[in-house]
Amino acid sequence: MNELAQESQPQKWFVPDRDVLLIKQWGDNAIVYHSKSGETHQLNDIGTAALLKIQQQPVSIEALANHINNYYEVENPGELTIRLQRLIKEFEMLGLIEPFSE
Amino acid sequence: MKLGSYSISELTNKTVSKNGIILLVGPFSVRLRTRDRQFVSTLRDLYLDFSIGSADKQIIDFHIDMFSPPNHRRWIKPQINFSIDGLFPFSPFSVSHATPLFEWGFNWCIARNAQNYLLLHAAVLEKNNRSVILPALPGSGKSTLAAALSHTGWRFLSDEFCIVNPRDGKIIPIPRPTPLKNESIQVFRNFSPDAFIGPLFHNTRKGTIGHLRPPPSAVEQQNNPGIPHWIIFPKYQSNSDTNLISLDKSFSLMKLASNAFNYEIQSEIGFKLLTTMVDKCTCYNLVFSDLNSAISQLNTLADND
Repeated sequence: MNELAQESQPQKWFVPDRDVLLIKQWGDNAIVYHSKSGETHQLNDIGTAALLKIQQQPVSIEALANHINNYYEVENPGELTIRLQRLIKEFEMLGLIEPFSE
Repeated sequence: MKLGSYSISELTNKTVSKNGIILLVGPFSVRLRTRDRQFVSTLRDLYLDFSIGSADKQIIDFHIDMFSPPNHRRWIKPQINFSIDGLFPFSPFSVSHATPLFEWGFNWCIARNAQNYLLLHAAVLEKNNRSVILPALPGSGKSTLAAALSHTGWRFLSDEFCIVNPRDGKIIPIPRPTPLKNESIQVFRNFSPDAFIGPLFHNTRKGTIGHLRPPPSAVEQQNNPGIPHWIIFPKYQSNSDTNLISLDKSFSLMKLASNAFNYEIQSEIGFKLLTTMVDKCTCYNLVFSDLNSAISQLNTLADND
């Protein structure tokens, strides 16, 4: 029963080490410096909102979509989820976030 | 003592000696030794107002030698080498191109060794005690614009390097001669006929180059740091109207970082320095084709901001 419950939990994502990311926000956009890789990334409004939320606590794409939808009142929520899936993949590839296991 | 207070013979006597001359340029002291009298003469013209230090009182940042390679080309199409601390980072140049070789070599020394500063590829000027940083790629008109501003009431801090002090985020001046290239030499001569431009060097890797001597006041104030206030990315575009367009800060930071010599090496310090700088500055793109019009826009900005 427990195993089934765990399997049905949506995948969450988190920032493994908060101190590794330096984030500077200007308006809705931000610049993030990843001190492990030494790389600097520019984030648009959705990217900024998503990374800041993931940095706060482990979060699933669905929860992220709800959070951003509340902020920006996105016209097409389905499209937002697809955008977030791509964004999460990119964040993971850049080493900014990792899958979270409870 | 200033370089200009010595005759060419006196200077040559010094540059052939063991201790050479110690040029004090911005935050750097450069020990230079050479036997090339023509080069010494041009150096004197271009660095006329810079002071000479004393070998026994000065910590030397760069030990530079400019000597002919010991081969048969001493007599046929003679060449000259640039060496620093016994290293030869470049192939020899024609001896007639000793000045551009020295200037590029000096750039190389700074970019390679001055890692205690954040180094941006940018010109810097100042008006009303507020500095404007002009970062740009080659061919953007940066040097011509900086040269023109420096002859119309703006204090000249630098043409090539914006040297940021990590301790306080202020800009350390290094008002070296400005290398004007190709058409920009005549453009500047038309703009400021009395300004001193040294001999023209043709067929260099950047075409024809003439070095503009920095205004004496810029050299006098080379120990007074600048406070960043504007970041303006200039872009010369023929036949365009002058257009100063406000720029998003995050985009400006990415452009600045891509213009830096050692942003990656500076790591977190570099990021914090740049974000602080961008935070305090207003950022613009400047498209221009007419120098007078561009200067007028920048004067209006400086007087009203």
